[in-house]
Amino acid sequence: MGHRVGIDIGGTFTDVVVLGDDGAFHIYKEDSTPDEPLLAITRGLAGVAAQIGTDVADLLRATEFLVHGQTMATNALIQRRGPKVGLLCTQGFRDVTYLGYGWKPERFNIHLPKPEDFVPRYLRLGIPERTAADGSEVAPLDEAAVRAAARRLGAHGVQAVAVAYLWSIVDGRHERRSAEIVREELPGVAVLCSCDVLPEIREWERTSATVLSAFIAPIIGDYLRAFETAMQDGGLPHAPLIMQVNGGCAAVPDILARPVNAVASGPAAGPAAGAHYAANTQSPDRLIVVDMGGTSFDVCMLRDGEPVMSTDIQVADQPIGVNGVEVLSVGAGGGSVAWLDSGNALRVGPHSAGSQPGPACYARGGAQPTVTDANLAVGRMAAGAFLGGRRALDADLAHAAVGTHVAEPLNLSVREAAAGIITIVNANMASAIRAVSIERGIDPRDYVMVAGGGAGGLHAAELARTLGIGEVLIPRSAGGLCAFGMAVTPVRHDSVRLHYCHTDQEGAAAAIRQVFDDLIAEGRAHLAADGFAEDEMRFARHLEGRYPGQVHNLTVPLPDGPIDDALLRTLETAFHAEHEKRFTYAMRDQPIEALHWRLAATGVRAAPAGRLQQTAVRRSEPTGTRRAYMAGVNAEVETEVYRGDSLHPGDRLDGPAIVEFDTTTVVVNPGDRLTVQGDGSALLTIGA
Amino acid sequence: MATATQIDPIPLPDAPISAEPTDAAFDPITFSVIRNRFEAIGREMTLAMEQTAWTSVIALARDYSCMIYDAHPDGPRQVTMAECLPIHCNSIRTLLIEIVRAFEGDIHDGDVFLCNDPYKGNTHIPDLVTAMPVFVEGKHVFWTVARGHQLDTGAIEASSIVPAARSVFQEGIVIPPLRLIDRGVERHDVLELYLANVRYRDALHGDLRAQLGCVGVARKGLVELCEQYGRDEVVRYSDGLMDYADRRASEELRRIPDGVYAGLTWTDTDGNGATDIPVRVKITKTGADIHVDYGGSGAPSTGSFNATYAVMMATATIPFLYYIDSDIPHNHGVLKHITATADPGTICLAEWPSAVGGATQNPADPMHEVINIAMAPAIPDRVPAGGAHTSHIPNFNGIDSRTGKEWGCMLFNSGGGQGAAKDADGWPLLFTIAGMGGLKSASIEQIELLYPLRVEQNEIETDALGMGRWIGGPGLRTRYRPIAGDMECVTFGEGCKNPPHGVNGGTMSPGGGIYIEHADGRRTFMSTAGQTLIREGETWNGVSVGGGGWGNPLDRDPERVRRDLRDEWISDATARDVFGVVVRDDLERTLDVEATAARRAELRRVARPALEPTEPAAGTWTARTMRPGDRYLEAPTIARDFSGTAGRDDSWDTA
Repeated sequence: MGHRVGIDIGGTFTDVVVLGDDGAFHIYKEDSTPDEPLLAITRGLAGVAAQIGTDVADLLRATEFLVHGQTMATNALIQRRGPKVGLLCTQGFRDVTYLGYGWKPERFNIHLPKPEDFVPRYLRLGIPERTAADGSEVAPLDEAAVRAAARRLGAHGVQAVAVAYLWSIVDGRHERRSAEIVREELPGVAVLCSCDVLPEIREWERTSATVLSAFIAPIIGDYLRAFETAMQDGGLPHAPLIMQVNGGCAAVPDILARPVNAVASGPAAGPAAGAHYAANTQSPDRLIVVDMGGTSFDVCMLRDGEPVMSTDIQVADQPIGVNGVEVLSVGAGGGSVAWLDSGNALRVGPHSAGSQPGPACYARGGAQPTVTDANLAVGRMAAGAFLGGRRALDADLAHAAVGTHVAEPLNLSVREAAAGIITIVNANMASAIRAVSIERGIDPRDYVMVAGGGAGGLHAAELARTLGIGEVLIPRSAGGLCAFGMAVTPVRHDSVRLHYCHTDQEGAAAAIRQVFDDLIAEGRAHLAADGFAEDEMRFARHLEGRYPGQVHNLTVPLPDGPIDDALLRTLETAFHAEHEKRFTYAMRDQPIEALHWRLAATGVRAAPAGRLQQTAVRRSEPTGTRRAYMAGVNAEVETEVYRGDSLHPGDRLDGPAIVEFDTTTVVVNPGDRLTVQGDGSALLTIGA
Repeated sequence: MATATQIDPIPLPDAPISAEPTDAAFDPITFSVIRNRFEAIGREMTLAMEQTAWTSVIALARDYSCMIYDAHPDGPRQVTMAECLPIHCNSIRTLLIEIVRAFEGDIHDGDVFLCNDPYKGNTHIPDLVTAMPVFVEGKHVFWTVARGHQLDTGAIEASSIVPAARSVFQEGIVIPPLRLIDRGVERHDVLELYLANVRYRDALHGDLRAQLGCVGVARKGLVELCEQYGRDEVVRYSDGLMDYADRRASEELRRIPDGVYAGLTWTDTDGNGATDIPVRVKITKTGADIHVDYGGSGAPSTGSFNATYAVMMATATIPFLYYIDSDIPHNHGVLKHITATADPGTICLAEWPSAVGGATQNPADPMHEVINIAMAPAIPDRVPAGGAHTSHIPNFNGIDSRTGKEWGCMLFNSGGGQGAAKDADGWPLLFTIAGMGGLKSASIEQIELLYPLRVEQNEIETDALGMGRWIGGPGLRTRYRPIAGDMECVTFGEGCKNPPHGVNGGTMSPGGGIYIEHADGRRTFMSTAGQTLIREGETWNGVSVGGGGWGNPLDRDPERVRRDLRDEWISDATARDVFGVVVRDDLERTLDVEATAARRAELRRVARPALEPTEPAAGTWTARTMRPGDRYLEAPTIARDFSGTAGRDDSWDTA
């Protein structure tokens, strides 16, 4: 056993988390260096090593898993800064990525321009070839046309080429042969086939996943290889791992084979962190994991121990296609701006003051009031306690901003206005949680909330109260929740096969068995190569299907056991139950029309339970009292304030109370109780 | 003859329910929270409907909308609407009034009412409405309402819309306000009466269950909201939300210059042989109030292309909702500013028992567009160019020769483009105000997996759009081939002969069309509403209608024109002769700046009209595209023998 290290690059901070093999936990936050991300990583590792009392080389040498979540891929897509990419597609279908499904958001906004394409049309070239739905060849591949197209793309200077033909998922030969030809013509250019990147039906998603992969491949290729070298040269005895959008991690070569898996991967570490911390709560396998930072509020769910996944994730208005942890992100964070619309209604967000200029209280020239200013103005945050006192806040500027822009126009006192801002941002966040729970047929009252992010502790208990959630866990590593998740997440390889059938048709079981035999053999070999023993491998099988004639698909897990007719009957029953739960009704006389069969192969090595290191032997006594607004009772109350590092496992605080940790402040409302856990986390019991 | 056409003009209530409507009475924080909750409940309804519905019309194309209304004594008023389809906006108040009239004093907690009657305030028969009263502490305070397009209505043909229907009696089962659920108990006999009158009863039963679930979800949300804030408080804030929207909308509407604005356009067809029917409007704008009068429009259709009262209200309202800030909630506080009239017995307001099945597309599309034509001179920056109308939505059906099974589908992949607007080129596939981007098309692989046809092309057609400083959404070329037996194709819609207009100097769209390509290479062109047979070995071909252009093409950024040309959206000739942009014939098609300046100066000597076309049947596509040996059929139909087998007229003498 050795240390586990998670490195999460965020827009503002690069978080480095070390979970020692003895359960000791360390976190270090370093300013991100967007132009040279490795710099912040090196500094962060040095910072955390110093905290532990060692040096970087010794730390890395003693590390068993090092997992990195990068944001280069996502940023390149969002900023649309990347190489020139070409696309070869089936003749007649140059515009698959442009047309999408003909959907437009904000229907009544006629001045909204359509987002740009990642491959402009002159670099999307149709190739005479065609495969039919049953795999038969309707038209052979015109190799001369591929060669001519490759030369044309080469003349335009493309640095990567995506190949995405219709029905390549049932026969990928046309794509693979085309890729060979392109490589011959354009040596050194990355070429990706859609049947390798995302072997699923639905040409828009598959083409998009391949195009996005081609767009980011040259960017993250160089970066990840440099990162790998830096870590191994620095002492890491094995290859580092990279966080994926599916909630697990994988080695660099796996990422470069399907780069789209590295998009939107940071927040996907939330469920792993939640699962690790929530082991001792009321419902450890039913979690709502929230992360409230400066600009956004991210929510994801863990249901029956598994992260809730989606194949409909979009980044930069494009589908990524792959199955990923479903993270709903709304513009509600500490930096969210409070404003009055033309009808004088008070709104909060979605735009944020960011870190530059930041909230008014940062004194960097920001004049607009933010959620952080509101929290400061009503005593929920202290001017001197932000980031462990490393950054002083200016309460006068916060008051002035709330006063000028909200309180005066609405004829409220500053404190009333600030309390209003908090109430509204809480309502916005509660709506987001409703959207991923109640609107999906999930009752949040059966769930525990795990709240991370710098602003999470300030608001979590109030959200929980609104939604009827009984327990909220604020992890000791709240400020670096995703970095921690990376440190404890399993290695994961997802694979999928299109096998269209009805579950009640003759020979269905044998054919499905064959599909999974193949997928599991691949997954097993992959995990063995990663160094996992047989007893560390887990294989989760899922069906994605629907009732015949229905439009939307539902994904359900296969029951354990060999695939035979009896198992398919159990699967059908489970499908009906899930359909009824989610969509209010089931059609029990219908078979299931199966489309995709999915396998998640994971390599799991148990992480040690966290343990709190006592940094100071002090009694758990308040450092003082102040009047603070408590949204749970919609009133200001005299509140005792504690320092987080003065609390001991087993300590209990009844609300009202405020606990100031280094990376977050926890507000305990009247009627709630905070209990300090063995690992230093704070468990809030709502309405205790 | 006493007809059911006459919907009494109902006085629009201005006095809110509560006695104290002043701003001071509202806590601004609670106000924002309750506003969010109403909108969240609307979204919840929408999601519940989409995910639980059975048919692709609702689950994929999202042809439905969900609303919350209050229970004001002068008639229900819209509180919130989660629009899936704009045509459903401002088109349901009258229907709720009819329900209240029919059941006055007999409306109870747990009831659900149905109605699809186009002569009782509904849009058209396929739109089935479920309405549930929400009682809190014994008092009826809200309505939750869902309106969804049913796949079948039990009409004379197996289609929810029958263009050639001669009267409402041929369009399926008419449901006046009817109680389906009585204090929580479903009336099975009533349900069976409905289901016995429609085809695909299982699928339609599934959709109905989705609609009932959806109004139930919203009722639960509203009851919880009232429990949290107090019933009367929630009602009072609901009134406040209307005042708030009123205030914001009034401010914007007042900025439109007062005056009388007139517009004229034409619809291609009445679905039954008449062509180029005029649709006229006269808009009187006074202060913050708008009156839209469709008086003087053409004769009614002898088929089903006739507007209803509800459709007229929707088409009159929708443009004004996108002229103002789209952030203003679409509640009664806004809607009350717009009134509409038409001459009964014209295409713009049908008289019972005229057929009205096509109402939500034709004449809804031209009735909507004519308002943009009229208002463009008043507020040019707010008004878009014309967009593609409903068209190029083939309904294919047949018998799979490999399995002997019947199949059918309706495809949205081949539709036209949105009109250009200031600062935005038009989007693709946003045809018709019924959709405006709310209709989703299906994956081509999904289509081929499920149905015995092959999609051979689905691509932007060069030069198939209106040009301007901002250009229209593109027309698409699409080809479908049956691969296991013949297939029948039913299409409806129009806007090909009378294409979307260009505005502020932009050019009109060239239009588009449909043809069948026969095995011998000859082609049968047809009007976009009709019924035809496509044999194995033949293909269905459509070039859809691009949107109109906005602003003078000579003002388009030359770099954009260069890219349009490079990307084959437009031809060299168009770049040179319409945009005045000269591009070199090198690899990157670089701009010739001097030649462009000279060409633009030359072209600028001829002034562009503010509006085009100003004559009917101005579309150029068909004349440009047809070759010797091709033929053209207006509103074709399929001959059937008594065994139900369809046959096609293959004589070429009609060409």
